This record gives sequence, structure tokens and C-alpha cells, in this order.
Amino acid sequence: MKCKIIIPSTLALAAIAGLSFLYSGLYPMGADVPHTKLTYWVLETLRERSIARASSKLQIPDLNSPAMLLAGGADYNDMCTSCHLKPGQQKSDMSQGLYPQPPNLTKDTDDHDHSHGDNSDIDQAARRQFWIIKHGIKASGMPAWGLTHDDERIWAMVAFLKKLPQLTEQQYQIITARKGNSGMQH
Amino acid sequence: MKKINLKIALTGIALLLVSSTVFAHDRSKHKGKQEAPDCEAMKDMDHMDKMDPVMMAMMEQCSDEHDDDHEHGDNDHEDKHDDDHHGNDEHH
Repeated sequence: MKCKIIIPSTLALAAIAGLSFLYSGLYPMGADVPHTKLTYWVLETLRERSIARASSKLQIPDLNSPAMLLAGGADYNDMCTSCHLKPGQQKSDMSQGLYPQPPNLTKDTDDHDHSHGDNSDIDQAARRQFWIIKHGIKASGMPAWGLTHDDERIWAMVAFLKKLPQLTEQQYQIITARKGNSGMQH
Repeated sequence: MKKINLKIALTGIALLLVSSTVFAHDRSKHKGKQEAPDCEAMKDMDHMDKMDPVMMAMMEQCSDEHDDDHEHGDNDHEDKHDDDHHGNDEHH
């Protein structure tokens, strides 16, 4: 009998407390104040589990073609470096100001200071990158490039990202130089 | 007067809708960002495997560059370019 009163009462109090906090405006929303560890873990887990589930069935094309590297490299240089940097660049206004901080893609994934879920599988890491580029991530600053770019172009960027951590500044410049014939036609 | 304002507003909305459909991210929008690859830097990369996709991509970029040079009548380095083309043909 007591349970029938205590459990609903506790749930109601918790709901009232949660709504009160929500409407109080006390949570700091500025990008210059990090989330609490608990909030960060919840959001990161939510993100990684969602991406892993949504991307698990994607079919990966051959990512070793030089034409894909050239097409993806030129697009990366135009669209991504302001946040995700390029060889020889340590930071930018965007890489410092965004929260969560965009990963430095010139580094191997092991060197990133956030979780990528279970990406020990290289193929799953490629699927994850494709999905993120195509669909973006809510409230992170990462846009959904799939609205304006077809899958072929996005896979080309994934192909380039696989090689990016090993590229020197000179190699990066040569591969990303856009001469008007980036290899892939649309 | 109100009808005129309404027409202007409707025309504006229609123009916005039409322009949004052509706002795809096209490569032609990058024409102002074109730059030449620094192929001279490849001279210091002799240790690279020529079957490596990165090396093959760079060779493709720079072989195109050399082709462009020929088209512009730059014959001063003809022997060097010929050598490069022989190297590239093996991997294309």
C-alpha cells in the first residue's frame, strides 16, 4: 500500500524538480562553460550509440583510389579546415570557440580527446565519418553536408580523412590544390 | 496600396524559394579558390612508395600540371617532363 503512494509521489517530485530546473534558466548554455561530466557523458553516449546504430549497414566503396583522394582533399580544404584544421595548423578561431570542440582530424583518432564509440573496426570508423559528414550532428556546429553533396563526394572526403593524419604540409598542399579538375565529375 | 505590398511580398518569397533550390554546394563555386599544387616539393619525397594512393594522387595532380605547362608552350623543361610522364604512366 505504501509503495503505491511512495513511488508515484517520488516520480512526481522528480518530474517537478526537473521541470523547475529546466525553467529556472540556471543551466549555463554558453559554449565557453563546459558541460558537467555527467551531462557530457550522457550526450556523448547518446551521440555515439545513435551514430553507430544508424551507420552500421552502410556499404563502403573502394576508398584507395587517387581520384577520390583528390576530390575529397579539395572539398576538405574548402569546407572543413576552419574547424578541423590541416597539417601544420594547431588551432583556429572555430576550433577553439566551438563546444564541443571539433576534433583535430590531422591527428589519429587515438589522439582525439573524446570518445568515438567502438571504432576499433576501421570499416566502422569510415561508416561513422560518412554518416557524420552526411547528416551532421545536432547542436554541435557540424552541418549536414548531405543536403548539398551527393554520397560519392562524401565518400571521397572519407577516403581523404583516412590519409590525412599521415600527410605532411607539402603533401596536403599538392593533394588539396583545386585546379578546376578534381578528378570526379558530377 | 495593400495589394501592391502583398504582391511585392509574394514575389519576394517566390524569388527566395527559387534561389534556395539552386544553392547547392557546387565545385564551380570554388573557382576563386583555385591554386597550383606545389609540385617542386615532390622532389624531397623520393622515399615514398609509388603505389601508395597518396603518392599516386600527387603524381596525378602534378602530371596534369605538367600537361598544362606543355599546353602553354613551356618547353624549357621538356626532358624533365618526359621523365615524369614515363614514371606516371606506370601507375595510371
